[in-house]
Amino acid sequence: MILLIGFGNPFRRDDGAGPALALKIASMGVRSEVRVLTPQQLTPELAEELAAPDVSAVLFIDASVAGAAAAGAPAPDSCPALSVVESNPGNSCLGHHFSPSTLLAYSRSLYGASPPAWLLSVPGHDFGYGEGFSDETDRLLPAALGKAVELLRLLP
Amino acid sequence: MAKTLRIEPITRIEGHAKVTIFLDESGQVSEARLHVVEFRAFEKFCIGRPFYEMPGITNRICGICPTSHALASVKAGDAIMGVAIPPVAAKLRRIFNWAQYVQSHALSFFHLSAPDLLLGFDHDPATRNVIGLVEKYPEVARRGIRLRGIGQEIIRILADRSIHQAWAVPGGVRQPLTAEKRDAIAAMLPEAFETIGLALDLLKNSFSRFTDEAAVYDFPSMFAGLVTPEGGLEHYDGLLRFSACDGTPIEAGIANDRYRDYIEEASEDWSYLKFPFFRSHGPYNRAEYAGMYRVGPLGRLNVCDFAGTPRADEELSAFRGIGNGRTVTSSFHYHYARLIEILFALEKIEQTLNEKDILDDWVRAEAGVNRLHGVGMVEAPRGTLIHDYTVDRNGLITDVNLIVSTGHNNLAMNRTITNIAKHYIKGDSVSEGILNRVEHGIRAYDPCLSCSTHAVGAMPLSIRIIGADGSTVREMVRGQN
Repeated sequence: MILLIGFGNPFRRDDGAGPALALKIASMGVRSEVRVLTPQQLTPELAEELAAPDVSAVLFIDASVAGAAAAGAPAPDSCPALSVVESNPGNSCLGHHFSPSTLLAYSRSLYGASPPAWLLSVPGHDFGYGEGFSDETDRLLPAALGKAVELLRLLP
Repeated sequence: MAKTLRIEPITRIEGHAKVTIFLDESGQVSEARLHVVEFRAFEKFCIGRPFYEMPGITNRICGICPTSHALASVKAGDAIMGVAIPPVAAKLRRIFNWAQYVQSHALSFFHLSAPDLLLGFDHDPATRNVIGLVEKYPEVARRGIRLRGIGQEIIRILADRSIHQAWAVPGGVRQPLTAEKRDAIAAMLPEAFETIGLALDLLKNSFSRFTDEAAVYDFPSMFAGLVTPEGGLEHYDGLLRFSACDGTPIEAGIANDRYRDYIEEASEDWSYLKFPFFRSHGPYNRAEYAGMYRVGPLGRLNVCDFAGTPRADEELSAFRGIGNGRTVTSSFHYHYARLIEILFALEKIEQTLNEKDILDDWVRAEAGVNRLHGVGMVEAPRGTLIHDYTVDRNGLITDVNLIVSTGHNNLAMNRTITNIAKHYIKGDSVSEGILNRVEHGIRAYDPCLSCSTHAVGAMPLSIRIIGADGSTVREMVRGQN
C-alpha cells in the first residue's frame, strides 16, 4: 500500500496544490493499492497512518515556497522537486502542524515504523485567500504529476 | 545604548509571529512585544457568499479548530434564520464541540507543552520535544496521541470526517446519531478517562519544580468566558461573563449579540492581531493594560461558579486551591485548566450520550432569511470565538466581523512575555533556556495566530539581538521547520 498525503488548504490558493495533486494521482489508477489523505496540515496522529502494517511507502505532496531549494534543484520557484524524507527528530519544530520529517520521526519513535518516504514539493506563488492556482503554479502541475507517477511506477 | 532582542518566529504555535524585547540604556528589559506578522484577510474573502456556505468556508480558517469555527458560524446562521434548533441537534453539536476540546487540548498539552513541563525548560533543545518525551515517557506520549485521536474519532463518527465537515448546518445538523455510533463513542471513553487522570497526576506532581515560573506568570486581570444561566462552565452556548481578578462578576451575563457594547478592538502598527479590551475600563492604554482580560481555559474556570460534573468539580476545587480559593491568576496554570476541561468534556459527552432522546432523528430546523444580522458565539478551546454576520435579504454576506480567541488574549500574552523577559533576561546575554521560557509564556495560551497556510521551510527559527541603530548584534538559529 502506498500512502499518498497531499496536504494544504484549498482556500489558500497554491497551498491547495498538495490535496489536488494527491486526488488527481489517485484517480489515474497508477497503482491499485493507494490510500489517499488530504489533510489541511500534518498532525501527530498521522504517525499512526504511516505506521500501519500495510504501508510500504509514503509520498507527501505539498506546496512550498522553498521546496525546490530544499531538494537541491537549480533554483526555488522553478520546478517541482522530489526529495527523500529523512526521519529528523532533531529539527522538530512541533507547531500545530508538523513537517514530513518530524512525522516520520514520530512514527519511528512511537511505533517503530519508518517506511520509505518522499516529499514532492510544488513551488507556490500565491498563498492568499481564494480558490484555484496561480498561473505560475498551475503550469507546474503537469510536471509534478509526472514526477509522482514516475515514482509510483518505480516503487515495488 | 538601548538594544532590542528579537525572537522570530516562535516555535510550536500556529501562524507566524516574532517577539521583540526592548532593553533600556542600563541593559534591563523595558518591554516585550508579540508581533503577529501574517495579514488576515479572511473577512473580506467572505463578502458576497451565502450565509449557509459560511460554515464550510470558515472552518477552513484553521486546520486545528475547524469545529469551533463551524459551530460559531452555524450559530450565526441560526440567528439569521431566526430559529431555535431542535433540542437533540443542540446536544449533538455540544458533543461535537466537547470532542474538539479533547483533541485540541490534548495536542496543546501532550505535544506542545509536555516537553517543557516534563523534561524541563533547560533540557537539551535538540530533544526537548515529543521525540524526547517518547524516549523518557513513552507511555505518556502514546496515550497523548491516542487521546487526541479519540477526540478526532468522535468528530469523525458524528460528521463522517474529522476536519472540514459539512455536518453542522444553520438550523441544526445534517444527520442524527445512531445507536451504533453512540456505542462506538461510548466505548472509547474509558481509555480517555484513564489518560486524562494520568496526565493530571503528572502535571500536578510537576508543580513543585515550577514555582518560580508560576510566580512570574502571575498578574492581575479580568477574565471572560461563557457561563450557563446558572453560572456553570459552558463551552457551546450561554451568556458572556466578565469577572474581576478575584472572581467577582463585573458583567454577570451578557447576551451574545450585545458583545460590541462591552468589547472594543484597538490596533497597533507593529502587529496584525487586534487588541480587544473591556470597553468600560478603557480607553485603550497598552502600557497600563487597561481593560485587559484573559479567555480560554483559565478564563473559563475563573468566571464560572462551578463546572457541573462530579470529577471536574472536584478538580476545580483543587485548582482554586492553588490560587486564592476562587480564581487562579497565573497564566502558567492554563495547562492545568486545560486538562480539567478535557475531563469535563469527557464527562459531559458520557452524560449526554445517555440521555433518552439522543437518538431522535429530528435534528434540523428549516427556514430562510428572517434577520439581516446574526451573531454566533462559542467557546473554542483557546477562548471565546465570535462570528458576526450581516446579510442582505437574499442571505448574501455584506459584512463579517470575526473575533478569534487568540485576539482576546493579546494584551495578556504581551504582559506575560514582558514579565518573563524582565525576570530572566539581564542584558543581551540570553541562553536558549531563557528564550524558551519566553516562548513558553506564549504557548501557555496555545495561540492560533493566523492559521491555514504553511509551506515547507517557511518557518526557520532565528533569534536576533538588534542594537538601537538597527544593526544585528547577535543572531541565533535553532533549526528549520
